[in-house]
Amino acid sequence: MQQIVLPYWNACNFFISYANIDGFHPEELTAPTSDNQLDRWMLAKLWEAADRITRNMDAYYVNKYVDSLIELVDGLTNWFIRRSRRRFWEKGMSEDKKNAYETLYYVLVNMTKLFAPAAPIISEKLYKTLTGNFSVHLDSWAEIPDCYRDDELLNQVKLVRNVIYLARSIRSKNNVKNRQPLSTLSVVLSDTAGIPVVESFKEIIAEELNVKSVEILDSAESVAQVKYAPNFNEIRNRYPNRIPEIIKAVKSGKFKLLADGAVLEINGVESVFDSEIILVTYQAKAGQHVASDKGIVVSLNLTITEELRDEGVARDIVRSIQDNRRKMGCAITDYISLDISGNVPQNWLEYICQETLSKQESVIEPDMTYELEYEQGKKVCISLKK
Amino acid sequence: MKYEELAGKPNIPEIQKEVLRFWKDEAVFEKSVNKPEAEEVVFYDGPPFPTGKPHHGTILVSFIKDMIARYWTMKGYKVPRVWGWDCHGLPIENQVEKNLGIDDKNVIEKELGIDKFNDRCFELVSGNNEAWKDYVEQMARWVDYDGAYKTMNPEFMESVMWAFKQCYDKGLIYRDYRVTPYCTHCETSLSISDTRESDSTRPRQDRWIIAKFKTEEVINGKPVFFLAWTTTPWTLPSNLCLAVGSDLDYAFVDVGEQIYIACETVLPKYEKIFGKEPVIVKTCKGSNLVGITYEPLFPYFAELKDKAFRVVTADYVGADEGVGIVHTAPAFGEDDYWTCKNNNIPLVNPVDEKGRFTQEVTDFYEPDGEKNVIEMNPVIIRFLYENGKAVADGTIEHNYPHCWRCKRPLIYKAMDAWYFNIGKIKDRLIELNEEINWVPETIKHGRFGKWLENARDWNISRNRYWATPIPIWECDTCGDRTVLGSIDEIEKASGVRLNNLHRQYMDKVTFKCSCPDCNGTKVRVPEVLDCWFESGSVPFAQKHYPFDNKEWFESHFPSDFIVEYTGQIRCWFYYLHVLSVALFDKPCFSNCVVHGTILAKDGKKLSKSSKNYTDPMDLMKTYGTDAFRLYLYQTNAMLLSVTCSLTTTAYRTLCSR
Repeated sequence: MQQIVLPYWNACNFFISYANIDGFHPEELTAPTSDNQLDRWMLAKLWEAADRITRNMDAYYVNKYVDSLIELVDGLTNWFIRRSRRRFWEKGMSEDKKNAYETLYYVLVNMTKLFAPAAPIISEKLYKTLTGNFSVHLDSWAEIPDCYRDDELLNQVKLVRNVIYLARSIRSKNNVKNRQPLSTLSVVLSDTAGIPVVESFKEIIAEELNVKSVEILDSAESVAQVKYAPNFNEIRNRYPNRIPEIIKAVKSGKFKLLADGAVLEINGVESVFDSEIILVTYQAKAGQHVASDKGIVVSLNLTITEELRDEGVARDIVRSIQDNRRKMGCAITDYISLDISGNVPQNWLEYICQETLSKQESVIEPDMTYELEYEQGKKVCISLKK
Repeated sequence: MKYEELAGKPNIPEIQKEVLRFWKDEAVFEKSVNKPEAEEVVFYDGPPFPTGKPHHGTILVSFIKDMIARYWTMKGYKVPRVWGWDCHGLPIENQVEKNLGIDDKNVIEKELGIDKFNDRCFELVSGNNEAWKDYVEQMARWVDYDGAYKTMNPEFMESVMWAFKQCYDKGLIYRDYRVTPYCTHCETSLSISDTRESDSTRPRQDRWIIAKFKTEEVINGKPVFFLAWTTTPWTLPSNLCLAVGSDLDYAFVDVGEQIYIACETVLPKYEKIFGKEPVIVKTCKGSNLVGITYEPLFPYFAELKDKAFRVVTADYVGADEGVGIVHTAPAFGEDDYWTCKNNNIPLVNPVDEKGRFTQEVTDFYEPDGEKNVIEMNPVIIRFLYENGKAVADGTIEHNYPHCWRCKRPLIYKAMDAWYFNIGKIKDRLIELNEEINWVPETIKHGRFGKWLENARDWNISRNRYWATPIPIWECDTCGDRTVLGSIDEIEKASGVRLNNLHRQYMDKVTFKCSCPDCNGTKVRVPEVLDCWFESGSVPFAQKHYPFDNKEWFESHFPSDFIVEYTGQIRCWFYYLHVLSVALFDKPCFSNCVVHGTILAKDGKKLSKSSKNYTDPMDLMKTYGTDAFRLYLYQTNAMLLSVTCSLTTTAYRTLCSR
């Protein structure tokens, strides 16, 4: 439920809140024609989920149903909506914003149809709210046109999201919150075909991870020590008759790891095995922080300069003001007055005002006054008025 | 125009109430199936016993059925879903016996009367069907509940009679006297499948005993005895031969005053009998022992001396259990039966319907006794020791079949019964299985395919009351048989028009034998049909085929899909398949989804007494049926893997806001 029903509900809620502000309310469902990469990705994701569920259900293969729904909801909320937020915040109704709305609406309505057999109640409620139709269970199944299929884009974003996921794991392991900007993320890919992909998504990766730059390295050696070991389980499963010689070859380093397999030299003869028989681990070199999975190695520079620290503080402040705006019952578009004093990073004042829709001025009768201790002994005092 | 704003967090119980009310008020399910132009997806709902209560297992199966049906509905089909009730059979009869405080078939037949008993059964199954209704609604399961078919309706029963007659006419039904699982409490034979149902065969502690059988041989002045081991001492009075393995090595062991014969390899296992270093005076192959005679252990059937009480060979004899010599009592074991039959040894059956010894067994017969033969075991063991006929005993825990309804241990007993000749259609059963899409697919050649390959003739008769009577009438003079397959046929033969086909009415139907020479009367045979014959008839009987809906049925068969738990592989799925192949030479269903069972977190069965699970109704009302559905759809139980923990804690992690 945490993984699925709530995010689904929240996504609908997000759409409805903004659509009501912008007066977006199409008479009927139209298939989006957007060129925006995010829209194309989301539609491809929808196509993929609908295709999988339909094929499985046609064959009465019932048990992967929920997995497909979870993946779709995750893509919708943790990628599409997350990456599209600013598109919805824009004033007016640009072409791109309209595309974002059309895509989101199209995906929500069709996703609701995909939910209907498995979660018939919540989907009925949301379908009626989203479409005004009588019942989702009397409407037709989700038919997603093949023109939305885009396996290449899905694979690219999958790689990008894996990179982001790995880097986030370094942050959480080292207790560095995402609001604290960092300098550099280094990426190493064993499959070089991924390099141009990461290259073209550099900005998005940097933004998602709150780092100043993303660099691609040729090898992991500058950040980590690479270790190879025989993967006993895999060897046992795949080559039960050759266990000792494989282990011997791997341990003595008589192998080459290629993209599509491991070449082992056994008794002077080279033969190809599944690469899974070799377990590759990366041990971070001093001062480095490394994570790896599925041919991806990332290293995150966790050094926090004074400049980065100030920026982090500013983001903390923004976050707390935004929380309190909500508590004060401000609409998304309301401006507020802000009085801020203490250890404020001065270079970031303008940024703080911009992000929180506030004017800096002295506040006489504040609706709210509080202290924010963002670090041991360092405080700012904030007053807000609607 | 604006969208209705949503709450920050969904109020699940409220939404559930609102949507369920909407479906009911607007008859949304009815609308989804009332689409005259739409093609139909055909689905059979397995009927539960009306005395059962819904539990997690029944809920999972409901969720899967509902999901598939909703999917096809949205794909443009109509998917009629009709609930059913399995109204007949032992579970109902047992409950009525309990309610009436009856423990004896005599009371039903002689004092209460079959009519009154069946009336009580009817009342019971007509009464408490409401228990499910609330569940069905809360599960968000769309099904025609109020229009449920019932296996006790005359239309349903008439179709079952029709099916029986079809099978009879195809030569698939025969009567035979053979060994069958038998419940001494319910006083009926059961089918082999009944003993395989869920945990019917389960561990039980029994005493074993090794008895000695005196031969006429004497070696070194010492008498020679065969030893034989058994866990059913009560069958020893009926012993008629001993079976050995022809290739096994047997040793003659000198134990002092006497010489014992046993399989050589078992000697170390029974040090107490044979000594640490057995004194072997002679060895030979089992085949060399054949024909050696011995003194009957008990005198009751000594008159069979010329035909019985000798050594024979049987290929199932091994040395892994007992002493490698198998005591054989033909009326009380299937192997025993065939071994004796093959060796022209007659059969003795000194056990009555209640499982008590009959008069021949003078030492253990109790004229007004209550004890059945299993309960007599200790008495027999004591008797054997007192008479110097036992050499050792002990206890063993082994898997033993129990009655699936009354839970008491079964016995095997030779008796007359009606059989369905599975052997005759086995090849087609296996061939037509190829046309079924099994999910998961391993079932096809695995558990179902293997079951078909090893399928045996099916005992379809029960010596009971509350079920469809076997519609065979036999002449009391010449034995000629008439099988009647419809209400019309009964009327034509007897002039009686029945609107109720239960025993109390059917038993009264008699008519003159049509033979020119005999002046006999045709009387119905006393047996009723195994309820699985009725459940297997669901596809056509719920539609009263072929009396009604002939065209519809013939164009909508096989069905598109059915869904049940793994236990039905050998039960409902099997019997549906058997009857479809026998009657229509087609499989019954094109797709069959099989799911596993849900266990508690500790790997144990969900049970009310150990409180290891939360009431599903509470879960659905508190956290929402959707969350429960999504949770169960994600578990391994969807595809067979048996364990799937279900506890409030597990559930809460999914649902916590």
